[in-house]
Amino acid sequence: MRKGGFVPLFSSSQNNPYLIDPDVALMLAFQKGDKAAFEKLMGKHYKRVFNIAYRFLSNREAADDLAQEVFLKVYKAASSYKPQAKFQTWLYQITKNVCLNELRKHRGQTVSLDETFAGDEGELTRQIADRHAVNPLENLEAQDIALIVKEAIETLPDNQRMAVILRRFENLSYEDIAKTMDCSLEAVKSLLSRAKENLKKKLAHLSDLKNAQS
Amino acid sequence: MECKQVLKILPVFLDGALKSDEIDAIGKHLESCEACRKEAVKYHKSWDLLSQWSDIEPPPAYISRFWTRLAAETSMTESVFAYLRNLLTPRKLVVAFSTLSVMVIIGLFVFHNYLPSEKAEHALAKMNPDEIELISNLELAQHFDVIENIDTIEDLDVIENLDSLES
Repeated sequence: MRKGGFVPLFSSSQNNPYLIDPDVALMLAFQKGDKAAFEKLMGKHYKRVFNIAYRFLSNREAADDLAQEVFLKVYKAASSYKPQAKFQTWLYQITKNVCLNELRKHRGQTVSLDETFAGDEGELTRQIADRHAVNPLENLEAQDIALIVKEAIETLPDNQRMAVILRRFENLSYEDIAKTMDCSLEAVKSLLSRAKENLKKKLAHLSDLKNAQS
Repeated sequence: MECKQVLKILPVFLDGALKSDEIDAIGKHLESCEACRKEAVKYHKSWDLLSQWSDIEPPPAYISRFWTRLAAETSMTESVFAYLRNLLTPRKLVVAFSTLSVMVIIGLFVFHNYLPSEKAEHALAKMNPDEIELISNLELAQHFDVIENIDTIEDLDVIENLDSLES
């Protein structure tokens, strides 16, 4: 099965379809020495890269560090950059690799129960649900639901988690996810099917309760 | 289409990522199968809930922090290169090269003269014990004609002082 990775098809700049991508144009301008073009790219994409890393690692400080690392790699790759895909796809591929490498570096480390989670209304602490409490999900607020969703995504295997982040939060097509994750379209379908099955099991009770509340 | 087949590809169907004939087939099945419809609703709701986890803002001044980090990395790399350049001056390179050449020459000399060669080992393997004993006692063999005519016990003094007698 043909993988969705980059294939160097375009040697001539005349028939390269990615040159119409404005971000590719900015990257090529930076390649010629225009630092302002690089800053524009950072301004456009930093928040997206940061949030991908944040959702993958569930840690705000680590996400910022990784986002900086992603753009360092982009900076250093400028001299040899050749547009073989949309700029965003290439950028997200670097982001995916940096995130997976970071996770593998720290695999097995324990997570602090006091670790805070950045929600819309400030820092929240992780809580362990008391299954014996009566109606434990009554009066759930949005930030509580966000915490449960976060924990559900955290328990997904690495590749399923990345596929969910790219599909649900970055709205990438299946084809773009395949290119970003350097796998086949069928592999993406399989990853997302299993991820959705896992999420359904973890979140079905929550969606039932939200129905009852509304 | 059977429920088992539908349930397997229902998550992808809900993303609109199937071929049109598959979409039509599943659509028809869902119209008539309440169990699969309920599963589709569960998938849809749990997927929808993910939107509760909103984006957050990155820490501020990320661009200036980037340039600062890049400058720090660049100065560290330049320091390493400067150290190596200082270490490998032409004078030091000449000394290092000369020392290395002398060591290689000594090594080759030792290897050639003191380590047993393959040919010598091969020749020894072909010899019988008498020949080997003769070679290991070459000095004695030189005086063989004298030794042949001596009664060993009586003339032991003569044998022991063979070299001085000859001179």
